[in-house]
Order: sequence, then C-alpha cells, then structure tokens
Amino acid sequence: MDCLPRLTPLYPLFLLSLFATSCHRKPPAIQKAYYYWRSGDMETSEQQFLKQHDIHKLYARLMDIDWNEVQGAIPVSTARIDDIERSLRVYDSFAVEMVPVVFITNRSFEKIAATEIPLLAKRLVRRCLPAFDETDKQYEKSRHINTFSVKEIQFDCDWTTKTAATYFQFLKEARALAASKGVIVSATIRLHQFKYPDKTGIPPVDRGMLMAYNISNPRQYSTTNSIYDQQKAEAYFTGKKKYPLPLDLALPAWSWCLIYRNKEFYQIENGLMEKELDQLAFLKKGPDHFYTVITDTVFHGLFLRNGDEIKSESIPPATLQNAARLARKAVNTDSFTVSLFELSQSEFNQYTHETIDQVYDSFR
Amino acid sequence: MKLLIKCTILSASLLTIVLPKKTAIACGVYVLPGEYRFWLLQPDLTNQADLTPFFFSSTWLYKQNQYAAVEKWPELNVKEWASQFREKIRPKDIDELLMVIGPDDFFYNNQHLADTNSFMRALLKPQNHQLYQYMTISKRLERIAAQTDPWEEDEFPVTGVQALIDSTRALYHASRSKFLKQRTAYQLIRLSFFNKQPEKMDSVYNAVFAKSNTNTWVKSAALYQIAFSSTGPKRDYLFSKVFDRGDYNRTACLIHFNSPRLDSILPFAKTLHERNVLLAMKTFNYPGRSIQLLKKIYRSEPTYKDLPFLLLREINKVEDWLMTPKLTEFKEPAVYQSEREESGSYLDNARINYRNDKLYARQLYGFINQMIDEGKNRKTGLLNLYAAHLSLLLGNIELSSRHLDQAAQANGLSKKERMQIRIEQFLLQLEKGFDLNTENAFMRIMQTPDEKMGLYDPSIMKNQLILYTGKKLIRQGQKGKGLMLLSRTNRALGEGIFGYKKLFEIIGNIAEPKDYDLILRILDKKNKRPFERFISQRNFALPNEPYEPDPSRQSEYYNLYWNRSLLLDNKASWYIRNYQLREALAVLKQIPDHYWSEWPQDPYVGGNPFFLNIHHSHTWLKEDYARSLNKRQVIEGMLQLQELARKEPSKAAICYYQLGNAWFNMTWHGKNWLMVQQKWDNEDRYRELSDPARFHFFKDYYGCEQARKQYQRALQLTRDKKLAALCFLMTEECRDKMKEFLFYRKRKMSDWEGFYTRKSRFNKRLAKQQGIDQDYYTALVEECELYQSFVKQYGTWKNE
Repeated sequence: MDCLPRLTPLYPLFLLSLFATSCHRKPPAIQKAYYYWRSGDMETSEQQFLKQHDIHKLYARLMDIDWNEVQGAIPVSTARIDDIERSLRVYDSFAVEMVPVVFITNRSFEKIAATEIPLLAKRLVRRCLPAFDETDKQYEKSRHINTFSVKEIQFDCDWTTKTAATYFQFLKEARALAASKGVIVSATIRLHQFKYPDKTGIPPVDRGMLMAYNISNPRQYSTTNSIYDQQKAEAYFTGKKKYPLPLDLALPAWSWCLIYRNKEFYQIENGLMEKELDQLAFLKKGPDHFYTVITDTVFHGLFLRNGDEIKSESIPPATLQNAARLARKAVNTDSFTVSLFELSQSEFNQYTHETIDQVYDSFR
Repeated sequence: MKLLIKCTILSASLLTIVLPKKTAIACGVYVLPGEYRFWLLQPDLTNQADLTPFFFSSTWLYKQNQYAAVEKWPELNVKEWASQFREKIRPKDIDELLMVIGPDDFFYNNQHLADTNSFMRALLKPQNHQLYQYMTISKRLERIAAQTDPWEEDEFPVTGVQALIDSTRALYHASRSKFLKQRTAYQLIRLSFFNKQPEKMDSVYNAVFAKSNTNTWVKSAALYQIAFSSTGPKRDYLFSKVFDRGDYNRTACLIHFNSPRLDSILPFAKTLHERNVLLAMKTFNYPGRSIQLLKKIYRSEPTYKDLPFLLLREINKVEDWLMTPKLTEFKEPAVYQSEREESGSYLDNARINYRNDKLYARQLYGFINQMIDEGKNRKTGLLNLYAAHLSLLLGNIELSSRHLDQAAQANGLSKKERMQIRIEQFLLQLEKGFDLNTENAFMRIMQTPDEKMGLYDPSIMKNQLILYTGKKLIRQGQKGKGLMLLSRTNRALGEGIFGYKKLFEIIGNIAEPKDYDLILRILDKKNKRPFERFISQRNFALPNEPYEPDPSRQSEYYNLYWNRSLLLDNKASWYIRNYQLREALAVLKQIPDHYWSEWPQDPYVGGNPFFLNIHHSHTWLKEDYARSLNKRQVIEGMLQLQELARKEPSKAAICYYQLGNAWFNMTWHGKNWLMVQQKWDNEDRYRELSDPARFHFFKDYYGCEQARKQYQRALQLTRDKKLAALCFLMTEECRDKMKEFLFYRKRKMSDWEGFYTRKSRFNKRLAKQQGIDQDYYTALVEECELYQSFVKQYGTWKNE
C-alpha cells in the first residue's frame, strides 16, 4: 500500500472541502404569511402592513362549519375573502395568494354519517375553488363573487382520536377533489397532535400547518398564558423524529382578555388590550395580568360584577421570538411558510417593524 | 373697473345663472310620509289590533311597520295546547316553548328546560310521546325555515327536508287526535313549501282542511301557506280567504294583496260576500278616495264586519287632507317622495284640492248619515260618532252636536268610543271659545293618566289635541295663550332649517307686543291656574327624541325653553319692523347685557350697522371689526342719527345715508337680519313670500323699501356730489331688490326655473334726471376701489 503515504496529506484537504460545502448549504425558502380571521373588509393600515413587510400570502377564514340537528353540517358564518383579494390586487397593485381556510367543529365529525362525507367535501371544495362546477358557477354569478386563482385550501379542525377516522376520510375526499384542479390541501396541526402523531393520526393532506400556540385551555382558570407559555410549549418539541408531513408554521401574535366569574370562565373579549385595562377605574390590578372588578359596571356590553376577574393575555415581542425559535425545531422541509396569527391593526401595533421582520428572518 | 375684476364678476355671475337650482336649496328636515299626519278621530277606534299597521295615524302608515300587528292566533294556540293535558300547565310556559325557545336550546338543553318549564315536563311524559314528537318536528322545521338553503345551492328537493317530511307523515298517520292531525298536516304543507313541492301542499290541504268546517286558526295558517306559494290573481284570492277568516296574519294578507289587479281577482269570487272581501282589501290598500268602493260593499252587505274600520280610515284620510297642511305646514302625503323638491303643481292646485277634499268630506258625511237613517248597520253609536266628527270638520257645529248626543246615548259603547265622545265634546266647546269651562275640560283630558284613556296611543292623541287647540286659540285671537300652548306639543309645527320649525320662529312671525306681554305675565304669575301651569312649563316639548338640555350648554338651546330675554328681543323686533325705534329701545333695555354676547346674538348681530359695502353685504369686513354694535346699541345709534339729522341739517344727508345702511343691514341681504327675524335661509326668498299678513315686513326685508327711503332722503338733502352718487347707486340697488322680491312673489311655483335677472347695473338716464354727476357715478359703478373708498368715507363717519 504505497499510495497511503501519498494520499495522507490530501486527507485534511478532503475534510476541509466537506466542511466548506456543508457551511454553504442552501438556506430554506421561507414564504411569509399572515392569518386574516375577521369578517369584513381589511383596514387600510392592514393593507399597508402587508406591503411594508412584503407579505404575499394570506390565510383567510372563509367559513365556519358546525353541526345542526336538522340540516347536518352547515355553514354558520361566511366571509367574502374575494373582496379582500380584489381590493389588494386592483387598488393597491399588491398581489396576494389567498388560502381559503374553513374551520370545522369537531362535533360535526362526531355526528356526521359516513355517507354524508363525500357531499360535505364536495360542498366545501366547491366553495373554496372558483368555478369548480356548474353549481359553483351559478352561485358565484348570482352573488357577484370576484373569482381568484387558488393554489391551496386549508381545513382547521381540532380532531380527536374519536373523530380522526371520519375527519381523515373527509380530508381524503377533499384532497382528491382539489387535486383534480391542481390545488393542494393543508390542515392545521395542533401541538398535541404534533407531539403524538401515532395516537392522534396524521391527516392525509399535502401539508400541515403547525399551530405553535393555544397551549392550554383558556376556559381553565390559571395564571399561565393560555395562548403561549414557553415552558409548556417546550414539552411538545422534545421528540427526535420529524413530523411525517411537510409542515408550515403558525406563530402567535395576538392578544385577548378572559373574563372569569368565581373562577369559572365567563367570556373572551377580543380586541381589549392590557393598557386599556390599566386606565379603568372599576378594575384593580393584581399579579399575573389579572384585574379584579371592584364595582358593578357595564363594559363592552357585559355586566361585570364586583369580584369578577379579567385576565389579559398577550404575546410580547420577546415571547414571539422565543416561539419562533422553538417552532424552528419542527421545520422538516427546505421550503415552508411561516405565518403569524392574526392580522389586525391593534395586534401588529404591539410590535415594531423590526420585530416582525426578525421573526420571519429567524427562519432563514 | 379693472379688467380682471370685471372678468371675475362676470364669471361669477354666469356661474350663478348656470348653477343648478338644487345646489341652492338649503338642507331641510326629511319627514317620512305619514310621520306627522294630523288626526283627532282615533285611528284604532274599532279595536282591531291585528290591523295596527293599517291604522291611519301619524306613527304608522300602511306598510311602515308591518310588525305592529297584534295577532290573535298565538293566544289561541296556547289555549289549544293547554287543553291537551290533564294537568294544569302555565300558559306562559307553553308560550315560551312555542314562541321563544329556539331549536338549538330545545335540542341541546332538554333537561334544563324540563327543570324550568312545566310544558316541557309534560311533553316528556311517556303518555305524551306523540305530542313531544310533534314538537321536535316543529322545532326542526323552525331551523329549516330560518335557513332553507344553507349551502345556497338552489337545488330542491333537499334530502334532509324529505326525511323530515317522511317522519311528519308517519306521525300524521299514527295519530288519532284531531288536534295533532291538523297540526302535522299544517307542518307537512310548510315542509313541502320549503322543499319547493307546491303540488304536495295542495294535496295535503285538500285532503285535510278543504272540506272541513273547522274553526281552528290552523286551517287559516295552512291556507295562508298555500296562498303564499301561489302566483297570480289566485294568490290574492286565497289571501282574501285567509283575511276573511279573521284569525291569522290579516295584516300580512293585506300587504301581500296585489290590489291594482283587482279586476282579474274578482272573477275568482264565488259569492257576494267574497266579492266584498276583495273590495275591502283593495280599499285597505287605497290611499285615495274610496267612497265608491265603500258604497258598493254597503249596498250588498250593510253589516260587513270591516265596514266600520274602513269608514274610520276614510275619515282619517279626510282629516289628513284638510288639517295636516293647516296645522303642521307639511304637505299632505299625496305629494309622496317629493318633500325635498318644491312641487309646483302642489301649491298651484292647493286651493282646488282643498275645495275638492271638502266636497268629498260632505259626500262621506252624506253616506254615513244615510247609513244611520237606514239602520241596516247596527253600529249606530259609532256611526253617529263618525258623523259628529265629520260635521265638526266641516264646521257644522249644531249638526255635530246632535250626532254626538245620539252617539252618547248608544248602548254598549267601548272605552275608546266613550273617550272619543269626551274629546268631541271638548272640541265642540272649543268652537265657541276658550273660556274657563273649556280650559278645565281641556285640562281634564290632559290630566287623565295615559293608561286610563283606553287609547292605543294616548300620548299622540294628547299632543294632537294640544296642537289643534293651540292653533285654534291663535285663530280665535288668543295668540299669547295659543303660542304658549304650542310649547307643550311634540307634534311638528312645520319645516325649519336643519330640523323642525321652532316655536320661537312662529312667535317671532305672528306675536304682537300685547301677546308678548301676556306670555310674560303668565310666566311671572304667582298663583297659576292648572292650565297656566301647564303652558308655562320651562322646556318645550319637541318632535325629536326627548332630550335633557345640558345646563352647561344652555346657550345652544336658547330657543327651546321660555327664555325671557328672547321674548323681549322678539318684542323689540316687532317694534323695529314697525319703525317704532323708541319703543324697541325701551324693551331692549330690559334685557341683561350678557344676552348680547351669547349665541346667536354673537355672532349674528354685530359689526358696524352704519357701514355697508353692497358687494359684501352679508359678511363682516375690516370696518365691522373696528366698531361692532349689539342690537340695543344699533337702535341707540339709529335714534341718535335721527336726532342729529333733526338738529343739524348740514349733517342730515349723511345721517340718512347711514340710516339707510342700517336698514339695509337689517334685511335678508344684510348682515344684521337677526335684528328683525329669527332665522335666515337661502330659500326664504322663494318660499314664504305669498303670505299676505307679512307683506308689509317683506317689502322691507326683501325689497329694502325702508332702506331705499333713507337713501332717497339723503339724496334729496345732500350737496355732496360723491354722496349723491353713492345714494343714487343705493336707491337703485334697493329698487332692484324690490323688483326681485316682487318677481319671486308673483311667479308661480311652476315657473321654478326662472331666475330674476337684473336688467342694467345703472340707469344713466335716471341719474341724469336726478342731477347726479355722471362721471362720479360711472366711476363709482365701474371702479371697485373707488366705490370702497366712498363707502368707507361715508359709512364710518363718526356721528357724534
């Protein structure tokens, strides 16, 4: 083996080249996105926000589906997201990829008969995609729907082990229908579903959207932040195996107030900020973002009694950044979408432009 | 004048001519048709609460509030359900479960409902399982009715609905109870309607209801559903069948009835009675004169049950046509949808319309009287009450009194009818005058608690009475009391600027010094009679929502309460309008000084009243800021000028010139219009000019007559060529304003598009005749700067 002494000096060079190439691995392709969850038109400031941050993808809630004893699974609220898309494209010359999102209650899948699932899938895909069939064309024409091109539709359902089979059947049907039009289907994945895919099942869709929030049940009286708590969240990211479905990521960027009476959940109040609570004379500030009502009063249409408690929950910039860092662990593809929830002037005003940009950039 | 200024003025003038008329119209109040119709015969006299939207009243008109109807069938339904159970069930629980509890609560909160609702508990008992089954069908149907096509696919029949039809049919066949069979049949009809299967609706109705003589409201409801799904004249005919049964959705039947195609509906009528029902439904929907239709109905069926209500509505129409414009200054609602536009044909034909309406009222009276005489319709008490009211409207007091006596003697009068008789008695008394007895009779009505009046809307009745009585007192010469009484009504008094007409505007227009004195005496009186206490309540009643004036913003509500200073101010204005300046000053001196610095005196009276630049007559210029006088000071100044002119003849011309400016400034064209009139509007000079009672004032206010006289006097007295030229210019301006005023006063509303245009800026020939220096005059007219220097020189001359 005469060659070995001749090759030995080359060995470090070889190792160096390996190292160099691994350092210049191609960065992941991140698509920035936001969730738009309200009904109604987008504010000018919100449109501006998208442009300022160059966000060209919106997950927009199209409708909610719930179970009705008489009529089965039916829409209970719908939104005109076509108007939003058109407004951005035509008046702002800002093209945005709209992903229609349909929220379906778990109850719907508890109650629905297996024979009804194909019809439900067809109805929902029809409503999400333009000119899906003749019925859809009639519907769009009669309601003056501005059609736009759809590349992806998303279903949001907090399924359980009991409803997994039914829900997954629905997703299969929907995916097949969407695929016939060249459209992919994604489904939201909650943290417990992410951690225990073997137990909860893996939805048969093209992509999953990991919702890195809703850590705990807001109805439970607790001092931890039910939207996001770092310690609790970390427990979901201890697994070594990658989730067996290409994942996109959704991060928490919203706030709310929870109202408790005798430590029982009473109401969620969206759009109410902690700094507003600080100004109110009928509240006494306590620890852990709790405020106690000290005199009976009517506020935001609610009759609040002496002793009621309002808990303010929000996601400060540092927490959002921590959530992003943690969620990075779930990345399992080179190309994915990072979305914040939710687009609203009162919410994004809690963050500087730099913070928002940093959150997206932290994934590169 | 310089070329640029000439061009500017020319362009501006052209613009004024070319500008569309409507841009010049001030914002006015928009009153919904029917909102302030006048009536004194209660529209609900015949007690038909299920036809409330067809009461001919100020608050509702035809289809304005179709939900005001008080239906009978819900109560009937509760009774029928209660009779199905041996145990006693609270009617309120039945009503709650049937009408209040929604499908979601019913299906998901079953147990909780059973804990709190005795009807639910009874339904859940095993022996009532069919009734419970029916209830679940009914609640499911509610859900379907709320959202027939949740996916908006327009594809029928719907599988889910068909499944419910099947279970409903099964229950129908399984049940032996007539109560349940009728109801399940009704639900089958409804389900077939939602499933767009009209042929199935007909077959169920024919099988179950058509030949049955049942009186249940359920049959009416089923027929209503059939009517609703039908088309063409048959639909209207079926609605008439439901209407005639009288126990279900009568108002809705009237609303859906397509009365313009009556001729094609009539062939469907099988009997005279059915025909009369169709004629009645047309009459209900007809806003015009319906006497011919009523006569047709009466001739063939004198006791037709809806005839009294239809007659009542007819009298209300007549009241409205004759009384609304007189009492409220609003046009009658026949001028529909055109309140914002001046309707030339209305004003032109108002007299003719009134005459025809009065003629019609006589015809109506004649018809009712005939009905009384013939005695075929047994409601003689009510008919006499109608006749009494119509006679009163027509001014025949004796006849009215006789009919009223007849009415009062009738048996079985309802509470409403007895109350109406009381009101009629008061109205008859009022015709003779407003003495102490009448005053007390009035107060007795006012002081009757609303709940004891027995009327549907006692508040409207009282307010109508106040309005009527107040206006009557004014016509009878008791202006002071009448005006004070108007402060207690929340009925609108007419259209003002940016809202309803204010009472102080009316006071300002018609009250004389003796009326002001009376008002102030009553306000100051220590031991007031009940009527005096009533009319001197501080804050006025208003047509808008009740308000509580914010004491810290009192000045903004300066004319919405009995404001002593404003009363005195108005009194002084009357003196000014009648050239009695000393008397005006004596009144103005009684007003505290702070009044002049409050709204609207400040800013609407002020500036230098003796200075005038005709090109900016309405706005303050630099000279106004140098010397700004309040109303009292203006009159003082004018009196001083008069005195100076008398004492120093050499200064008389300039004094009269300045007096001319002061009078001009107190016109519509000037800046101190508030000195003589409570409000100013761009449309005024098109609107109210024909009122003969105010011609004397309008001559000065629009025609600048008084101002012209002062300028003319100055012109005659002066030797100063400059002043002469200026005075001549001003007399010409005033003459032109007079021509404009007379032009608009004479023109008919149908000449609406015509504008007054001035023939010539200056009259050289006349100027020469009057010995005016031509050069001065020409320069004055053509050169703005020269003009400005003249007016400044003579307008700011100190008159001490």
